[in-house]
Amino acid sequence: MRARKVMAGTLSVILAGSLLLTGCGSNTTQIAKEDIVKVWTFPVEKNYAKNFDAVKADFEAKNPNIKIQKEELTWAEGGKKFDTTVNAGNPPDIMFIAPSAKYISTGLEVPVENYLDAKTLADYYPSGLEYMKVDGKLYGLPLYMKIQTMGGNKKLLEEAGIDWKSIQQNGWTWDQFKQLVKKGTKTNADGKQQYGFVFNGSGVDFSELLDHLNMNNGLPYALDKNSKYTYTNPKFLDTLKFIRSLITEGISPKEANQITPQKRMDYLYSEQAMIIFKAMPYYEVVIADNNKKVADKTAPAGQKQIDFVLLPEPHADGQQAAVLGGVDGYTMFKQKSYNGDQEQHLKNIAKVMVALTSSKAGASAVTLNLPQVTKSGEDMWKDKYTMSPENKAEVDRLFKTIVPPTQVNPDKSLKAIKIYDEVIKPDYQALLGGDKTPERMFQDVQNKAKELFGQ
Amino acid sequence: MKKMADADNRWARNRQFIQDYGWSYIFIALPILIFLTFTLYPLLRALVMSFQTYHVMGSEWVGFKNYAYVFHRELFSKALINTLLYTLGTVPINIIISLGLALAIFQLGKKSQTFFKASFYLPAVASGVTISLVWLFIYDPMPEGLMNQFIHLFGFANVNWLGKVDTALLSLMFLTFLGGHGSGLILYLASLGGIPKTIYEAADIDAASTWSKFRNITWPLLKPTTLYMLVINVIGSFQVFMSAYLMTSGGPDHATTTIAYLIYQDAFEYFEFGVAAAESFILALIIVAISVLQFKYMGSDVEY
Repeated sequence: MRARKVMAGTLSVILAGSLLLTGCGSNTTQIAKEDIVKVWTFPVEKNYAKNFDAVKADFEAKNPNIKIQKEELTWAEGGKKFDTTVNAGNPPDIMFIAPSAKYISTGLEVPVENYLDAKTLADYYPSGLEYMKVDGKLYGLPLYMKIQTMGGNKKLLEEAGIDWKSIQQNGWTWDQFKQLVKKGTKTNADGKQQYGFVFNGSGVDFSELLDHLNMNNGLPYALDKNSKYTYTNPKFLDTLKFIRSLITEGISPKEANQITPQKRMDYLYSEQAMIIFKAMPYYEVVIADNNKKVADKTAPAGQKQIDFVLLPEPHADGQQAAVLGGVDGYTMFKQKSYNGDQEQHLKNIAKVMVALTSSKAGASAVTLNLPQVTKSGEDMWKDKYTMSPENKAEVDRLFKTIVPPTQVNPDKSLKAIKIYDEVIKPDYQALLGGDKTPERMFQDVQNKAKELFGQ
Repeated sequence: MKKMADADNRWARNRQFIQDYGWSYIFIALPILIFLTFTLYPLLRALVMSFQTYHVMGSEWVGFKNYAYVFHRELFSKALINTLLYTLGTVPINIIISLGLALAIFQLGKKSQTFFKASFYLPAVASGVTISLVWLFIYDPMPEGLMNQFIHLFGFANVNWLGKVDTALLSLMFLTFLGGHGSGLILYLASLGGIPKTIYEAADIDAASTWSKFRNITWPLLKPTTLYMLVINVIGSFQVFMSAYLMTSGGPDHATTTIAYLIYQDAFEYFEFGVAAAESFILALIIVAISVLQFKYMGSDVEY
């Protein structure tokens, strides 16, 4: 009797298992006809999830055999998560990231030109595509053109007697910048310390100010067009001296290396910062949203409504003003072991990339107050921009001074990245904290460059 | 005929063995499988990787090149020194704090003991990430930061705790002093409860002072626990990663770059997995060597 029960139970389990497997099998066959393209992205702008979903729905309706699987990452951790998957040989098909020698060296970043026809590529402005190239090969497609600069509180600038309109039009040198911005460092009306210039020296991309000021000192990139390392030039030392002087002269907080982007914004909102770095055209939207919160009394205590103006970055005497610009966009990857027709899959990925960056996707550029990267996007969105006239004029001016991209040797680029990560970043924090002199930091960079580049 | 009988006997013995111990093997099979898959295999894989230049699409055998590079690398020496300083600065003090707390709590009644045990164990339950974020708030370098407000009461100006080379590592050490004593406290309290009261009574009859009782009775009888704490804490502090990663990113100027953080950077930021694997095995060897020395020199007069 007992044996019979055991037998019946066993057979039931086998039967159920078989049915389940049969079910799964038929499902697998059905799914196999669909190609799933994995896209990892970020909260690019406040409406991006909605904009992305609209593009996705549109694309999937037109391409029923391709499904887009989206994963939204955080700005703080997304890059690290992506790096891990790349090294496991299993990155997503499309990532919101700029092409880099670091990823190309893994062999998983895929040039896209072979998977796009000339007509599709012709929709993209060549200037935007240039930024998605490494060593002349196109690895991705841009979503929008971008610039990064400085911005200020109009009220505080005027209180300090700074003619911001003239600065917008004529720019300023490092000496002029220090002379004027110094006036913004004082005790404010709330009895709190106000600084003329607040920049983030902590958090994601904490060394950006150094890169921007190098650009404004005739050192646009670590590697020049001949792939020669440039940060051993004495101009680099001048940049370091200038940054350090901002702190020693009280223009910027002495705790600069602990100021995160969030804290920088808090300083702006509480009128403790007259000028901030970095700023982007999108800040007009972000700050307008915060102004609404202040009006509704839902903003943190002490925050004020800010009238925000974009400003050019100061440049070294005798050097041309330059703006760090370029594009943000999607880059194409493959997996180490792909089960299926990889060539067809890559073609499908390219199709998805085009949808995510052209025409309808241009809505994000509108929200970000940034120019379109495609003619189709331009046609669709050109009348939708709502930027303040003075900031719009400044953005147009700044775009004229953008430093063009350079195509450098990927191996040398990896070495430059190593110097940046192992020496420049940690030394820069120490420079901001007053633990390292500009001369000492410059010496460290020279030593490492000698070790890696022999120069 | 005899062969058939032997076969029957063997089968019967096997069946009996399975009946008696079958479940035991099934129960231990899962942990063994987990150990083989998630510990032994990655360990062996990492060992192989330490002799390779790792590439996702195919690695290259380089022999001892990674080890040679690590031994000559200035940053590794710096990370090693930072880790040693961190260990020397945290382990003895934390053991003393745990012991002091245990001695104080042991004098209390049952209910009070339970309350304090639970209270001190609470940080062990809380996520390390959360604790690090709370400490980031406490170490806010501006005058409004909590720690700065505290020192301001004594007339000191605000300090950039995590942003200065002199204070960054000390700040990471200090946060361990104010938390993480839960396990040590429980261990010491259990050991204190295991010391026979008659020994103290005999000492009382001899009019021994409190210090004399501690030095001659409590401390020697707590030595096994102290040795255990020392070994476990040294291993833990050599592997310190979370606070360096979350609070300082190893900076400024590598002042808080520990070996574990350097391994992480080499692997996941610079994609040099071979170097990172070599560093991991060097770290493992250092930990084993220190543990052996601890047992050899400090465990000689320990009675279990």
